[in-house]
Amino acid sequence: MATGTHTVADLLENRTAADRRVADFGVENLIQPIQDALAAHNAAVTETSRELMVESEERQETYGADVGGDMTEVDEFSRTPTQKGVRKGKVAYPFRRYEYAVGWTNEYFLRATVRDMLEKELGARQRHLTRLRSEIRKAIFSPVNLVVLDRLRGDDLELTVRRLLNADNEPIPSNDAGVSFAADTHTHYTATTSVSGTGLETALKALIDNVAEHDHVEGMRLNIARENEAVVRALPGFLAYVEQGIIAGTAEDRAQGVAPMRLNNRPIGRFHGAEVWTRTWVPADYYHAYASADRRKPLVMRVDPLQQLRGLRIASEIHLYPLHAQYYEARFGIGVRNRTNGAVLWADAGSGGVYSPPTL
Amino acid sequence: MAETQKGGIYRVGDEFVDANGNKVKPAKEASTEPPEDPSVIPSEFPGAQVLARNGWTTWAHLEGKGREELIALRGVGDATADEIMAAYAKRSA
Repeated sequence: MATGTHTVADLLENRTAADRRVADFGVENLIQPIQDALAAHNAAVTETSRELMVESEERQETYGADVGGDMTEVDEFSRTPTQKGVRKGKVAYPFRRYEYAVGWTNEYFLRATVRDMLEKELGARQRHLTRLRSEIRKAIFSPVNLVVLDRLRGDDLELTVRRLLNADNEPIPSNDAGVSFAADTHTHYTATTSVSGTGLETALKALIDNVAEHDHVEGMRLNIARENEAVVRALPGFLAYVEQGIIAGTAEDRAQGVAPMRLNNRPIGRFHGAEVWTRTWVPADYYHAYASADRRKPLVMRVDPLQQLRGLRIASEIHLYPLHAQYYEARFGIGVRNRTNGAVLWADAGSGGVYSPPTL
Repeated sequence: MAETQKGGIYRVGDEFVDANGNKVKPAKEASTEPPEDPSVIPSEFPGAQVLARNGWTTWAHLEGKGREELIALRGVGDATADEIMAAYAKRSA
């Protein structure tokens, strides 16, 4: 972790005549714009993550119950016995506190411009997004359940943070057709030695079907890394969207839609009924399928019960001449809620068919 | 079908573990991989992965290509290009 305190030397790099010094602008006039920027950032995070996760104050919930039983035909003299469902499993969500600190000397503060100070706030927001992406990645791509102590709640309750279905023998709900799944062998973490061509195509179709067979079918998405875009585009079953600014010819089939220009976070076409997206948070050679429009979102972001402690916020400031420091804090945890809505494939020639998580 | 997949064993670092992180011994199972298309460059061919990342997935992509064209691909350096050329020549012989 890089540490440091901003000094006058740092100010020599970016200065324009139009920048006003904070000392002239008035530090009290910075407070509201920074608070407004943080509020907008938190609202944007909630909105853009809505496809993948919901917010919850809960730390654990039941999951995997089947209503059980059968609806049987009766006559006018019959009365069926009462029935009840099978046992339920549990899912739990971690909850942690993250901090990003910025410091400066008094001399820096006297000479700093408004822009200099606002860039610190921008840095905090960017680090918050990086941390969020990292936690999403861990929740989705780690196949091994995690035991955590719920320290921030004060009671140190032991929680088992479960992943997507990983054959841990926890109950799996049957699908609408009544098909049940073996809890000790059914896994949504698979691997293939085929990194391209028909072998990879077969494995990706199985990946998508692995999610769809649990009745997660609305808005199916296949998330891929930008590094694997060429491989996916070369698959026989892939239909590309037209690139922005290009007029499509009539020589080949194309999917209906336009691929936006942001190269590492955009839809690029369709495959086996799923829309294919490049994503910044998907590691190279990993593929993730889930139903984005299903109301049963795969993930939960656990948030603090107190509204004022949610999102990214300035938790504290320390002024101890000649040093000043500002502490940005975010309290949250990300865990899997609907274990069936999501599946991951690792494509690597040396995998031997055994899934191995990426470096997270 | 989901039930034919290998279930519940994962490799974390050098160890094989189950879903709860307990060490296990990997079971030897028959491969469920489909038979390979002969026109496709197999995954064990030297440089197959980096060629695939550049969209070069079949032997037709390599036909008639020289060293300079290989080096122009993203992720292919001198050593990899030489390796690919040598392996392709051996295959063609």
